[in-house]
Amino acid sequence: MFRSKRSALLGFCAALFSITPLAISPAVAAVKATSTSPSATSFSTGTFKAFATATQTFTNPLAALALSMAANTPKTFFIENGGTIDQTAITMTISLTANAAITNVRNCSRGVLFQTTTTCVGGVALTTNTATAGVAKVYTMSIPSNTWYQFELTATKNSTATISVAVASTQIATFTQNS
Amino acid sequence: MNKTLGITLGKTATATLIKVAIAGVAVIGGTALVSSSVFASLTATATNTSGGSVSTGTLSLTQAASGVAGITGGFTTAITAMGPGDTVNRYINLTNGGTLDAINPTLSIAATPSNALTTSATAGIQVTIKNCTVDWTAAGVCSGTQTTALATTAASALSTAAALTLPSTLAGAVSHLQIGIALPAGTENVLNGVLPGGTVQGLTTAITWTFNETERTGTTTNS
Repeated sequence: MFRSKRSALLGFCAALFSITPLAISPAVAAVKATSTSPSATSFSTGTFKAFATATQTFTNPLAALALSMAANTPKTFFIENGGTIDQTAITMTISLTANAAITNVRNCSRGVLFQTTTTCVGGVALTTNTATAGVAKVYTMSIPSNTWYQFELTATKNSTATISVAVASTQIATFTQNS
Repeated sequence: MNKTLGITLGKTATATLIKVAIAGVAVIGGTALVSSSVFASLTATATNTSGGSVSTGTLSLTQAASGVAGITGGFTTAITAMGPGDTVNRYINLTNGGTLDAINPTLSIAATPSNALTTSATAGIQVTIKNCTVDWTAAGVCSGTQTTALATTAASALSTAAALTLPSTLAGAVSHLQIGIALPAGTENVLNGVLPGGTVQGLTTAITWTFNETERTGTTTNS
């Protein structure tokens, strides 16, 4: 194509000078404006934790609650929201040894203690639930952060009850906030 | 026959001498003419009588929290205790305050520290941006024309600039933006108070928001 190396070199230089400005100058000439938020947005998430405890302490046991049951004798325990996010329901599974069955599971209103085995303090209505040992059951109830419910469990035999409480992300109160 | 300086020359020689002399004079004269013409060339100049003013425009992009009472949180107010399924809307007015039109608006974010909130495309923060032609109300309602500036996008994808679709980026244009910051509903399950691995619960990060725009394409004007 070119008669000599010198011609080739000259051709290359000519091409370089004619192409380079076209390729680079638009990028160099583009002016940009930037706006950065005056400060970073601090973003934090809460927690949803519910657990069963023998006494009301809000201390997270990080384990299921084991209760020693006497036949047909009600025994109380607490379900607590130890997280920072309000809950709308929990899933509780009560397992019993010795082939015992659940007679009933009762609870008073939020923050209300049992007065007797069949009544709540202040005459607040008592709720009686049916449950099957070893089967997960959803309890729909509002449990805001740092609140609790007192429950009462009755089993048919002397046994050990293991009470597990789970909260799914579908069982928490959600919100849309404009601020 | 001439007799000069005691030298006697014939007619032919005399004529030759004269010719040489004339030629010499002609050469010298010509040279002088050529030389003098260099110095004597005329120059004409035309100068505009009034100053031809040349000025450049400016490209300026600013952001400010909405001034509507109740939604002035902007990017500076902390967002706390978010949970899966929650959405917090913040309201920003993005203004092209320069004199030049702009194109290609973008948004990118930087988060510190980096954690599941900004690295998980499925469980982490999701950002949705809508534009309203007028100020949003405190209830998050657009009484003008509402458009989507950025479809729901994972924060993890916004570490590189994402294009925004704004109705106008002309000089002086103000975009009234609703920045939706959400956590997906997710599938986390907390058993007996033990948080699952990789949870988005109990995390904190700080997000810096950066908007960009580029000067409109250069123009060539004949005027």
